Amino acid sequence: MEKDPEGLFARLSPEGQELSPVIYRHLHPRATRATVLRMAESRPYRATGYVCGSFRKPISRCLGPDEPR
Amino acid sequence: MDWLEALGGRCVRLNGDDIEGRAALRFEVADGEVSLGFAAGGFELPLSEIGAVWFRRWLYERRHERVDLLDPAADNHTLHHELRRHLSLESRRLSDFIYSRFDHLPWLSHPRRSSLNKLDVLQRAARAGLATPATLVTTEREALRHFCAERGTVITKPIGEVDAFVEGEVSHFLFTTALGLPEIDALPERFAPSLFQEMVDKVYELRAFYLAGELHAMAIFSQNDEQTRVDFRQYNRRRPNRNVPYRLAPELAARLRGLMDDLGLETGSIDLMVARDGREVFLEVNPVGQFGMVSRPCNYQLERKVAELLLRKEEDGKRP
Amino acid sequence: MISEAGGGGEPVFALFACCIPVKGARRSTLCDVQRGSFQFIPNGLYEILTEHAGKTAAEIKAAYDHEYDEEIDEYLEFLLRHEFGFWCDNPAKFPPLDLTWEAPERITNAILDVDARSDHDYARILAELDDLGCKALEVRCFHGCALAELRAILEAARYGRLRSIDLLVGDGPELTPEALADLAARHGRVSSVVVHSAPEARRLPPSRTGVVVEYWTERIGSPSCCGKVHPGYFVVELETFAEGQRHNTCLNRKISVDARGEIRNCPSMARSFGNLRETSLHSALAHRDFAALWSINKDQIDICKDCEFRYLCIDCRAYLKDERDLYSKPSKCAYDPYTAEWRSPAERPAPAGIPKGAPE
Repeated sequence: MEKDPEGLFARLSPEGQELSPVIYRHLHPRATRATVLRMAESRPYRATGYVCGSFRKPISRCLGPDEPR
Repeated sequence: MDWLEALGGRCVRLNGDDIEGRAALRFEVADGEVSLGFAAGGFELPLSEIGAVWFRRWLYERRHERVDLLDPAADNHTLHHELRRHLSLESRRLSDFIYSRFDHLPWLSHPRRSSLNKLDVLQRAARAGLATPATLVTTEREALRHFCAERGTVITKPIGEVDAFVEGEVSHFLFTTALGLPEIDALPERFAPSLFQEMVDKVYELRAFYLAGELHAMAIFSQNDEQTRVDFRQYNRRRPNRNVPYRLAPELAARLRGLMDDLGLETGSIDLMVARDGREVFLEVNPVGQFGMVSRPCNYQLERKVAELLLRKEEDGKRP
Repeated sequence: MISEAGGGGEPVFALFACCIPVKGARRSTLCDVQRGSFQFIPNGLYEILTEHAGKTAAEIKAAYDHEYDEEIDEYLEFLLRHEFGFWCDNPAKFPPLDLTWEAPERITNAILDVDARSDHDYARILAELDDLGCKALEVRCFHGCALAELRAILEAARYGRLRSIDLLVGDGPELTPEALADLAARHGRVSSVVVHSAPEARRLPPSRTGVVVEYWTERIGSPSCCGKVHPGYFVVELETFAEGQRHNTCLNRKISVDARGEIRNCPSMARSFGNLRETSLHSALAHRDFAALWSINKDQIDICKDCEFRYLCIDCRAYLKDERDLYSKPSKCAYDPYTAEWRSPAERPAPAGIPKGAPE
């Protein structure tokens, strides 16, 4: 669990701090993009990246195992 | 949507974005007939043809709340805030109006009933015979200390929804957090009203999707992972938690059904925790809960069930 | 570690429902359809997990007259460590996964072959695929395809229901990494681009949206290159695992148009259900026999039925070990489940031509 001692709460004004519920002292900073993608998992199956995750198997299988992956 | 088409229905998807101006919006009242038109995909939507409405989410992230409205950016914060406030209001008025055009139709579920108050829900849950975590809303450090002494480890969470403050590349999340005595002692004697609950010593969590009387439950094992131990929404993508189908005991299912009836909800996702002592503790209901999270790992085919329900509703709605 | 839950009575060991054991002739697999991986387990452990499911550790040991106590402890420790199972107080509350497979689309995936002599009406093909609900398309160009032609195909798909398009194209001077990255950026549905017959093998880092662009030296001149079987093509996914219980994981809900416009189950199959010039995809699909092969799953195929990979492997009914036997294993599979060995490349059969016999 990432806590942020120098976090947002410390940057609030005295009045701001007074008006904040306790949970503001324990905010969790995360990269903004991570949240948008969190439900999308793309798995690197062979040569294809199934971006949308809606079709997860190879349609044809033409390329051989001897070639580098 | 694919199921709706496969089962013989026709449907169209309206996103919050479409209203915001991403697609050209045309809404006309002429000679008593009302129609909605959107440029994307080029279709017209005569209201008279709509049979049922399925409400998922609406304008989760409003564009005007994210961008700099003034140029040069935000030298005058108050003015910026004023502009934003009004834009939000305008957006809201339009949404309300559009919803009201569909008032006469069957909904799954109506947004008016969808804004639940967590504290109210907890109380109703207790009345329905469900175990709920001991909860305290207070401004007093002393009351909190006392609560902690009685209940053990305490967690704090927002009274409303989990939210985040976006600051460019970083977002500050209001995840549920555990508080130890040192953190409590560091608090001022008095603070803004905050919500605290006893931390349930959980073995695993449950998420059940409720759809017109039926419950479809899934167990979530997150104990192994420090990151998700307190709040399973802090997903660990590299080693996802275990999500498996779960069979609810009939009495528990009946009580949950009673709660959903009391709240007037036909659908929603219900979160519970199973404690070490076997107690199944109710946490909250999300009326527009995403069922994909439960349907996919458990292969419950909920997409099909929702489609079938919508078509049934449309049929029922047509009968005089 | 997950510790044992409280309450009266000894807890029993339970597998998570998403961890499914599959028995093979020499060894078994434990397929984790949630995390997308599998482990080999000995058949002895398979027996414990199936015949002795729902028993406590003590009961399991007793069932083997305490001759394997140490091994059993090791097995359980292994399973717990990898989070394949847990100590369970109430196994009745944890049902197994329902492996029913259903999809609303009449066709879920399609192959479109193109060569230098092809004359496809892309707009029409894509519109017909849309009507059938097709989600995923693979376009295979055997020649060095011009960028303009690829663009034409992608443009035709722009407003349709396709969710992913995989491109397999022959190398050409226009197909630079930048050009392909640009193409993928403009057409969000593209999920992968593989350039074959390239002078040098290359794999570019995935784009921001996860699109992979690769260059292979292998030459793909015709459909006969298809049908390969090896672990790189295994899919450990609930959807495919479920599909494989009753359906053919390659041909199920698949339709294809070959380079001459013939409509087949796949371009490598002998039987044609019409040519696009006169026949629509819809009417080809409506033919009585079109879906005949869709329900041949691995459990019906000789040798494959005893293979521990059978629900992970994408089957091929076009290139068969015995051309006259529809239920023989894929010719390009070099694995022998009776010895648990992969034959060396030298022993692997050469790619077969298009089979002569039509399916019954």
